Amino acid sequence: MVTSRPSPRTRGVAIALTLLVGAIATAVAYWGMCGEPPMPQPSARIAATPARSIVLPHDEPEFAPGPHRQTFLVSCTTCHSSRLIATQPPLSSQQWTEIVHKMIAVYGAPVPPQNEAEIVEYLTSLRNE
Amino acid sequence: MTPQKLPYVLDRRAWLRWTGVACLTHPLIAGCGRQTAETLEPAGTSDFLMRFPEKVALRVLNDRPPCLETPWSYFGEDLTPNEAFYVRWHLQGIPTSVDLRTWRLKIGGHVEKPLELSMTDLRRMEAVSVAAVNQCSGNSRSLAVPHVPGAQWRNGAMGNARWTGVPLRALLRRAGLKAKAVQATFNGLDEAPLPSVPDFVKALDIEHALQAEAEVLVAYEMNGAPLPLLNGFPVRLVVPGWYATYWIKALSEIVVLPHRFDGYWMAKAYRIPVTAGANETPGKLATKTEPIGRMNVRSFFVRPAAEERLPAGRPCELNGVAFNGGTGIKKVQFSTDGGATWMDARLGDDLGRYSFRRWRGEWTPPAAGEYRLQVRAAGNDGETQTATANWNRGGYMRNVIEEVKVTAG
Repeated sequence: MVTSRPSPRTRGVAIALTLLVGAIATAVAYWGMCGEPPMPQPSARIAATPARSIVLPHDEPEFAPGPHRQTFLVSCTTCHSSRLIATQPPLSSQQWTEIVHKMIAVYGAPVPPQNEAEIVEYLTSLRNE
Repeated sequence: MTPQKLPYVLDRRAWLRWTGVACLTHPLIAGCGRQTAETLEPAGTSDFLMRFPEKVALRVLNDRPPCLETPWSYFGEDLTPNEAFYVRWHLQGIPTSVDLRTWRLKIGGHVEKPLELSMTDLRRMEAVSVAAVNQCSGNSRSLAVPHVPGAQWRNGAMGNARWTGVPLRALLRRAGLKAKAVQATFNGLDEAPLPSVPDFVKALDIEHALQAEAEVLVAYEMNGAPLPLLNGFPVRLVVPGWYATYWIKALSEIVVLPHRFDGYWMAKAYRIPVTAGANETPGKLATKTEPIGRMNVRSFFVRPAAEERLPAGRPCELNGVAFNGGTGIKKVQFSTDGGATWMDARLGDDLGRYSFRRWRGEWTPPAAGEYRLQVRAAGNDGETQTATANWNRGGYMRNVIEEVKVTAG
């Protein structure tokens, strides 16, 4: 198959277009990182927006393979993100046992008793890497 | 014809390939990093930042429900900007949409005349303002040794703001307390994820609620602007000098009771040992506990930052903040030799006894080397900080003398 090489002019236009798209995308990302535009004065805001809404982002970390990972995933993320678990300090098997038991006994996490030990085993395995 | 050799030949396929690569790398550049279990770090070292609505990038301890910590540099301002103010919710069902046309603050229970007040009603009442520190009970928990499970804050689960709203005592007077009212409970719009999870309701003694000096208010503004939704729009309770657990966000219901409230979040959670300095030992927990209440005295360095490099032989400005549970700061001192000798700091503008108090000092590192800088404050009630940190099972009320290590070179 013969591929015709684009002319220098076409190449130049294509390069310029790519750079422009890249520059716009970078500017958008930079703006997103740096902050929102200034907001209007409070009184005007109240009058103009009696109903206020936000949409919450989520970023829930994925968890490493380990024993009973599936049991952990279905049991432990109903009421809170897995990130709460990911940001805990290194905890012993005994400490995880107390925490998991509290989730079930105090907060009513719907976990059958036979799964408690499995969940503790998985959580403890995370720190043994 | 010899093909021209260019440094970069842009044919259609190559263009598609490189644009595709650029598109894939952009999410990384835009800061939507992913943290997986493989990259878990010890408590207090994770720096996963993320922007939530109405907020700048904050350190994320949890995204559902949001627990977001203020980056340290924002404490260079006496009033913490609303968009940088830390966030902490307990229950997943946080209010993400509030319509002031239908929202009402209900006041009922042991009162003569139950009320339902709209935002317009509240703004028609006489307003007060108070500058007050809001600090999470578990601020600094990640620094506890041994480790305590829970939200792993560094020192940034706190902020100072000028809160504007209606005094709570004015609202209670309007409803008319019946005789023998004992406590008032406060409930927000947030809802539990399961029926078995206790709703987040806190209580204050009626005397506290009515005391003029306590300045408890229902705030609809924070630093002159409506509250961000994540900090409790449309109104929140403000309990100056007390830990933030009482500062109910998206306050929607006040119920006066003729007895003490025994809900979970008062009777079982947020309790401290009844000991000096709320101290206990891990192997030997205290048998008696009580609800957490007034804050203890704390002071911090904002400049220099931890691990900062300073030029030896040149004067450097030290500054930071101090605050306590409401008697105000009497004195701040700093040390540049790990606590062996102390110098008085200059206190900054007094924004009120419940507010951050800026302190400043000057120091010239005499020679190259490492230095341990420390700061301690004393309140007008005589309370001081200790050189050794307290410990309790909840990771609450840490107020040890803070230390920052710097290198001069």
